[in-house]
Amino acid sequence: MFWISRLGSILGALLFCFLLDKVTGGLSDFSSRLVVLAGLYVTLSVSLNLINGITGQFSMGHAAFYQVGAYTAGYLSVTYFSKAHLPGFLWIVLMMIVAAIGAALAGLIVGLPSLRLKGDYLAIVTLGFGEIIRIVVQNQPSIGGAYGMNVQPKFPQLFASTGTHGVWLVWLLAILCIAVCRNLLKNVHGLPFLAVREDEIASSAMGVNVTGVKVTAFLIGSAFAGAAGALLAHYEGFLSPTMFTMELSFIVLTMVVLGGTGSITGSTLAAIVLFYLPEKLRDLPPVPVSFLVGAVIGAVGIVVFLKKTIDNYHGSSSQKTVRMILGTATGIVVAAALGFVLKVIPTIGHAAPVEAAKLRMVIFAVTLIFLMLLRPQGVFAHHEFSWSWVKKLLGKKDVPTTAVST
Amino acid sequence: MLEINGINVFYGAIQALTDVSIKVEQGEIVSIIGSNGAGKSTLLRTISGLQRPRSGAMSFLGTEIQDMAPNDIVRLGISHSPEGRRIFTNMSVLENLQLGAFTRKDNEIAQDMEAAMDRFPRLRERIKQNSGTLSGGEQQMLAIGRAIMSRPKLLLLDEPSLGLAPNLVAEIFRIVLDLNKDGTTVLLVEQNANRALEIAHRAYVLETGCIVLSDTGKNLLSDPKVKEAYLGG
Amino acid sequence: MLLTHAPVAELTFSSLPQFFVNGVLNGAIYALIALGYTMVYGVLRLINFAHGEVYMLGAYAALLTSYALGYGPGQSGPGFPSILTLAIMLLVSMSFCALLGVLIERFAYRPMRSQPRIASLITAIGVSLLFQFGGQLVLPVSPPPSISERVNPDFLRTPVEITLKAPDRQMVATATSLKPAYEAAKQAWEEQKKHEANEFDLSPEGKTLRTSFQDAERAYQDAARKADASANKILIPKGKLVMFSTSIFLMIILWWLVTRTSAGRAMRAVSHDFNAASLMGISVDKTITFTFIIGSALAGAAAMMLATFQGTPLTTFYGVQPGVKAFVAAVLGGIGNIPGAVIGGLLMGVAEDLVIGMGYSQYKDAIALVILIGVLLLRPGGILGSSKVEKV
Repeated sequence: MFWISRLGSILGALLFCFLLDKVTGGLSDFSSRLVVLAGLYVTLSVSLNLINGITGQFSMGHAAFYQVGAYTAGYLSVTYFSKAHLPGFLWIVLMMIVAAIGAALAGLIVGLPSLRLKGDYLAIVTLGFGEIIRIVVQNQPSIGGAYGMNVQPKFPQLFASTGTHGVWLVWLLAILCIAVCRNLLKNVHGLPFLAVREDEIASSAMGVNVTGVKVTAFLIGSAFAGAAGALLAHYEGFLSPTMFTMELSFIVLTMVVLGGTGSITGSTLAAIVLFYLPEKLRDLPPVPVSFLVGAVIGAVGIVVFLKKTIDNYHGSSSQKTVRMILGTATGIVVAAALGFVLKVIPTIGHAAPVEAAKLRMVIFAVTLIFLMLLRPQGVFAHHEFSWSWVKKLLGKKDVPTTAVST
Repeated sequence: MLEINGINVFYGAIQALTDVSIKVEQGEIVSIIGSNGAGKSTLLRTISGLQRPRSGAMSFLGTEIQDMAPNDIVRLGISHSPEGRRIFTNMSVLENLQLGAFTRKDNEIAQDMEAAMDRFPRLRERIKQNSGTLSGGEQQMLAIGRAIMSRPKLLLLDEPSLGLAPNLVAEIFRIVLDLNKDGTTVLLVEQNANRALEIAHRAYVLETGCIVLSDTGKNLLSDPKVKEAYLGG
Repeated sequence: MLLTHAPVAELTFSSLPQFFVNGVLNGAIYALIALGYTMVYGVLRLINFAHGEVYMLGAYAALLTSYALGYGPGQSGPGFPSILTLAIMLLVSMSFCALLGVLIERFAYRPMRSQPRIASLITAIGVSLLFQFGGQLVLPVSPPPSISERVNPDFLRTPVEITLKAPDRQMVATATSLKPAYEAAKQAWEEQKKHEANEFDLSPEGKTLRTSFQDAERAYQDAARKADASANKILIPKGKLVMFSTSIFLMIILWWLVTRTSAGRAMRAVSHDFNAASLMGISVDKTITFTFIIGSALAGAAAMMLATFQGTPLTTFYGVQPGVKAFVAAVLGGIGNIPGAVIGGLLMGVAEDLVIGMGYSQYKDAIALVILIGVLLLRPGGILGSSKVEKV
């Protein structure tokens, strides 16, 4: 039974990837780009979750591993691809592996010294390392410095022989990342990671090699980020240090935090949602300032109301949920109304409308703040999607197959 | 002066105090004895506001205090010298004493500080020293000195003799008696049951969060149950 | 610009004092900002990521105040002396930042006190990003505005000179001896110019006189320059001196507040032990608010001074670099330690100027990060902190 479901999952994953590739082929360039980037973000998000959520090591410099992987693959491709005579597809897989190793090395450099540190200090050090890597790369003329580096060959050429668009490779990596982390979690091997997250001293007292666990988490997490970087390099065809700033680290962090630290399902979904939402914003017409002000006032009101309800309401759980939903709905209505009313005030009414795309980072910032105030454990907390949960939904009884249940 | 009625205190899911009621009258020394983990410190922390009771009522001089913040309770006239002394080791002896008088705005503070140093001469010697460099006994004296700087009506003392050499213990208890003679009501929590009962007008015995005995100090000293459990037979 | 130095010279033994002085002057500003980080960490054990943005908004407050007082683009300034304007700008910046700090603490940090510290850190990051990117939508950012030069009073324009080593006497004598010849040649040429029709079609006489003038000028100026270069002087722009003195003044006030007043003692008590402090009758909430007021006001002062005297164009990312450097300064001196922040700030200033002097100016932003990592890995307590590895 176990092997059949395993095989089924693998085949399902492969099928998903190829279907996605075919479907994307028919979309516009812009839309297919979104699909590729979403897949990369999923990999980044899940790999960061391994370090932050599952092992509890607060790493904030994830963009650096992405960058190391991207530049490693990019530089090697530029220098050696023409000399090696491999088919494009094999070359890129090779690049992914090399990039993963390079990024893992960076992960080792960042992770090892930080082992003694915890909490805030670890966060700051990882952020610092990330910035140093970015600045060092920025000052290396041999890899383009601040101007960036062109990477050849690009995806279309690489995959011309196989007739696909390479999208499947990006999502295969994402699924591989999810699978590795998932198996790590569900397995008996995954327990030490969770133990280290909960209580390091107790873990080491029970014989867990705390250092080994932490280093492993950093290695695996950074390796996947590096492989994703390799794919990025060959997809975009161009790399520049401005693509790997602190903002990127914060964006990935927001995805992990929104999904729920420790929940792979959460990271995956949050990555997709937080990536698509701002992109969809581009289609909106510019937002009049009065609506922005209304939204701000409404948002503050909703958050205050929700926080009060979460902390102080002593009714039943379903009553609480209803109350929260009604409150949020009221808040939204009030915000919209304010949007219309506030136009009367001249400074607000005459102000130029704001491009919705500029709101992207603001939305990330607000998401972080609201999450921490209302639900710091993230949407999914440590729950995962699993077949047993589906069975529960369908009302079937579930026989536990492993000793570990999430 | 102080009336505690049926309070229940929880640390998360664990109940530390169950339906505890005690009274402290003006001018008394009331002792609470019990073994480790009985909840004595919890009781004092609840009175001074560091811990909130889940249910029950507390009143001090007629005012309900079970929902008040610690810094407001201090202003009513209760002073708590906490378990482990908790002096501010980043500051000097003088500054610790000054902090004790934080709530006071009158101009007799300097006077009180002199009086405190008279009572604890060793503090006078070390007045400008960093309080972290004091010995255990000196730190305890500083803690008590600090607590009385606010001219409290009720003084809560948590295990003042803990970890001190026997001669220092005697001195501490002598000081408590002195303070009481000068007009301070004292609620004393102690593991050293003998001493605590000797100086107390009345006392309570606390066992796993419940008051099991309540009587005058003298009576409890001669009570056979108390003798066996806490006074070494 | 008020603060232009001589062109960046190389770091040599003789130019070391100049670099050192520059570093200390800059460092005082870092110290002001660092104090905010360190005090907040002391009471809340929180790294206030948003402090850099409070600083940035302080600069914008100063800018908008200058506009209101008549120094905006196209305006001609108010009737009263610019010293008064500067004072008003300083007060406005400091008060605005203080208020902002209080609001951030009240609404973003206070609800987080019962949560694990990572939650507060994430909230702080969120607030920081919100100000950076949200600010872009409401504040003037393009083109990046800067505070008008005219705000600065005239007497600040000349630098103060401190002579360490007098110029070589012989060289001075040489230059002095060449001067009369130069002046004579110049006068002759000026006279001749009046008789010439235009400068491009000179008579042979004119050409000769012009050549002799140019030769004499070159000879004199070379000699004068050599004499000048043989001296060792430190130039301190007066604007920087004003900034430095104001910073020292503010730090003295802070020292007095922290060590001599009841509120300052309360702050130190709260940073040591919340519970024991509240047993003294101290309102922990009020004390924390007080801490934020002071820390943010200092950042506002720093922002106003730098923005005014240096005239850098403002964007909503103006606070990122100074924020990082000031934070590192605080960590370097021992985070939570107030004198440490001052020492750290001065050291950071000097380190940065030394790096520039050594020719690595493109890495000057990275030096802060390297120092940060070095301190956190080797001695997390900083210079004035404890030497044991502090397990957070």
